[in-house]
Amino acid sequence: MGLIQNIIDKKMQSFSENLQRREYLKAFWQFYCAVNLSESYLKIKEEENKEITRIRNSLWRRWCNYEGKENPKILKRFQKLINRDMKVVMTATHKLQKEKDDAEIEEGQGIFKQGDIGITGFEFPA
Amino acid sequence: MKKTKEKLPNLSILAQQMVLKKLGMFCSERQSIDFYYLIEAINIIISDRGEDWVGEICKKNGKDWRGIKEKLEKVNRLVNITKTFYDPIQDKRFERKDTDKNLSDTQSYFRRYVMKTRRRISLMQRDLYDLLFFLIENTSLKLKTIPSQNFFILENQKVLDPRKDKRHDRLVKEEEK
Repeated sequence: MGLIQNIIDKKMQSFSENLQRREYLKAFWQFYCAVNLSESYLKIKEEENKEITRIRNSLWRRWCNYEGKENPKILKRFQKLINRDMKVVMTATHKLQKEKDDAEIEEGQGIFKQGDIGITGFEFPA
Repeated sequence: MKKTKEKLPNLSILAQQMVLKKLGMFCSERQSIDFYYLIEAINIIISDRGEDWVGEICKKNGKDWRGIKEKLEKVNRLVNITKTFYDPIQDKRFERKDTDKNLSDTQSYFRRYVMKTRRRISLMQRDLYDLLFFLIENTSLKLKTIPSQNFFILENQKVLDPRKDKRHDRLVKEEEK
């Protein structure tokens, strides 16, 4: 539980750091990893989210073809997907925290405080 | 500190340290190279506990170990190939093509190959994560955390350009004298 929480927390931290630095490719990659991690932790089957994974994968293929050039149209589409996928990450982190509290184990401190996670009103920098 | 009621099988101490280090690198590395470290962590867990143990646990949980093994071998091959092409790339920043005019043919070929394979790897990550979590939940790694010193970025350093390096200029002047 602690290990999985560490990994997801670190991915979300690097997502927010790269967004601030306007390195969108790196930021979306980290977020994409965090979403897949939380989906596999929550055991969401791939068949349930078939359409969205197809859209996300096709966007990702197109992005990689541009070799790092930022296309504002694709950026907007990614932004919509992020708004939807953030809920998945939040449910996974809440479930992890609940399991940690219920397990009656004392673990070391996490790398972040609780307030760092929960980017609900984020915006892309201008 | 209260003890847990579950009794989970332990990895050896060396394997635990290696796995936590690799997972730290996985968290902090850049795209498609981070899977190299994730796969190394998975391989260490499987070789420490043994394939028979993994097969037994898959049977108990209704999973097909043969199918998982085939996918793992496929991803292993892809990731190792990208790593061999990624290592000789001089400028790992992957800047835009227009501004980067000093690329030789071989360097641009390596770059294109890495871009091509990372697309394929990114689509297979879900299988890897399922396997990783399955292994973690059935070992004592479930109760561990990654120490913060393992989160460091290895290859995000600037490439030394001898034309801009002042030490190089000083050495050249001393030789001329």
